[in-house]
Amino acid sequence: MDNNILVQNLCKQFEDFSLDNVSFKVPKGRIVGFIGENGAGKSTTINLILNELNKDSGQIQVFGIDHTIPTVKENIGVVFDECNFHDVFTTADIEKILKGVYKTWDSGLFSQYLKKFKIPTKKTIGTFSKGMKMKLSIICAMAHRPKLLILDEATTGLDPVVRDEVLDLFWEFIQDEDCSIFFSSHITSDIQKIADYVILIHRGKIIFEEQKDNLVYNYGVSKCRKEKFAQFSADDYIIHRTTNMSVECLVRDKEVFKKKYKNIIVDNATLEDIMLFYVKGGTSCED
Amino acid sequence: MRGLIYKDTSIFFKSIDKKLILIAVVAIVLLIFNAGIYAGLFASVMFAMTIGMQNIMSFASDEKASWKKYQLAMPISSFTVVASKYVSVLYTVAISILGSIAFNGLSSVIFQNFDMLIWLFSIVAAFIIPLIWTGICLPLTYWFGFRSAQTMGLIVVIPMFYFVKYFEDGPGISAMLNSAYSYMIVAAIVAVIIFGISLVVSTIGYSQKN
Amino acid sequence: MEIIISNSSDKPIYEQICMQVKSFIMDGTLSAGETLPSMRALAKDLHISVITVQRAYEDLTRDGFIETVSGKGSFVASQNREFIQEEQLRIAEELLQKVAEIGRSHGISLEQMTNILKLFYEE
Repeated sequence: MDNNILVQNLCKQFEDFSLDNVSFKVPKGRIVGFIGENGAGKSTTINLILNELNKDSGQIQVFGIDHTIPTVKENIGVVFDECNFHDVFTTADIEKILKGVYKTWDSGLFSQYLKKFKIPTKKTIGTFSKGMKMKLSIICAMAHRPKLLILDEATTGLDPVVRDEVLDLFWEFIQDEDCSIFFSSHITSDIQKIADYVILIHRGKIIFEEQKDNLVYNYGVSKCRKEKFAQFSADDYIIHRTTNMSVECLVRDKEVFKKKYKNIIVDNATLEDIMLFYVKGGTSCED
Repeated sequence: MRGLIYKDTSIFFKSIDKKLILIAVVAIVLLIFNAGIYAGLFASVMFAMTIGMQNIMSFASDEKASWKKYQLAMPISSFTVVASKYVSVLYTVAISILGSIAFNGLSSVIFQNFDMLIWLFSIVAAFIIPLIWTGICLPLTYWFGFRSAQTMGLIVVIPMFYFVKYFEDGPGISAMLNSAYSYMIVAAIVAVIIFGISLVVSTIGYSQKN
Repeated sequence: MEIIISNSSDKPIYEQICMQVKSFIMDGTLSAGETLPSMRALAKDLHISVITVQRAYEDLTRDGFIETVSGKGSFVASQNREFIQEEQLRIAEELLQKVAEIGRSHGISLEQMTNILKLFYEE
């Protein structure tokens, strides 16, 4: 079993939205970023994986076994976009609670992380800043030594310094080859920094599941005038969009494209550029 | 399970409303000095009602913290989650009984009156009141959310108040005690059964997902 | 081993790593048999994907510069003259291609260029 998460043909219907045959995997030892606009289906997918909602159809396996088996969660650390602890608790209270829930809770690791991130141990959580609450949530998710970290918009609303500290924690986590991280975010720069694979979801469908390196180092955005664009063939680009000034195309391999069309500007594509092309549209060659 | 029991009992104590305590303390003190030999009984009933109310008020904190979502990601069954809450309520029932014993002790000392019947009735009341109150309101929390439970909790106060008032104004407390004596054991058993059924209904309610 | 990568370079990151490790091996900074950092540790230090490092290590293995023993890690392969020479030849070819481009675009004849090269060889 090489995948910590395996999702196959997952479907879920709501009144005004549906997940449509979502399939992807999160391999061991890898960080998989899950991007998409608000409402694309990221949280729904995560809630289904965690069995917080019932799926309509499809298979979800975590650690090679069916995800509905409760013991599977023993090895999953979860972080949502808000701190789920009551304001009246201190870190000691939270430890007592979680220690009584997770068999593999490591008190030494917990206090080590608390020290490292300067989380106050005498004050109640209600007095913490948002960044501190988030760091605490992440620490709690990691202190029971899970094999899988699932993060749903966990860094949204954090300042760059805190986000950097958090990404460092994740890099440390992934040193163990059995561990994986599944990280949903609409802050594509975080995903770009840390992910090995990137999955884009849009309106409940998976658009791509790609190696981050391929997306960031090979994809490009070409910019040229309309007459020049008319000379392109369909295989040269993935999607194009027309602005007042020019036509911009998302190309899969900028070196190949540059060699073919020597005088056209081809910029590097960030993950955000790629996501905007797919999400805001333009016209794909497949249309 | 013990982690969640700690959580629920912790919340019970940490979220005690100062206003509630103040009202309860004032009421109890007044009662002790106005109710004569029945002071212990009334104080017990008042205290048991406070405990019941506090339990119900604390149901709100889980929703405020978005705790349920986090809890659903834990490796525990629905039954364990709900049962932990019920066990934590039993701890508060124990406190209610201890309080009842303390008030009756105080009352007996102040008024130089030791009446077995009053003591017995007080302790049974201390046992039954929180059990039935939470027994009714917990399933409501799990099926419809904490607000419905809190509304119901407040509504239940009214019949209880009138029940006591009726006896006070009419035949009198001693009459009530004498007539109710035989029903005490039955009432206690009924309270336990309600609590048990409530646990099952709550578990089903908690397991409902979309 | 200190690797420095540039995010704004034209060269993909795995290539940058490859080139730097190769130059460390060839100038003796890394000696034969010396252990390289694990792929994960290097990925963490450079803040890049482990897949990138994996690719770099695979290329280095393919080109004979390092060897990877599963479970033990990667270490510098014992020096192989032919491989090193091939690598240097490849670098020289790249440079000569640039020279040719300059010559062609600025009207410098092949004869002129060859003479310059001869002079450098005879130094």
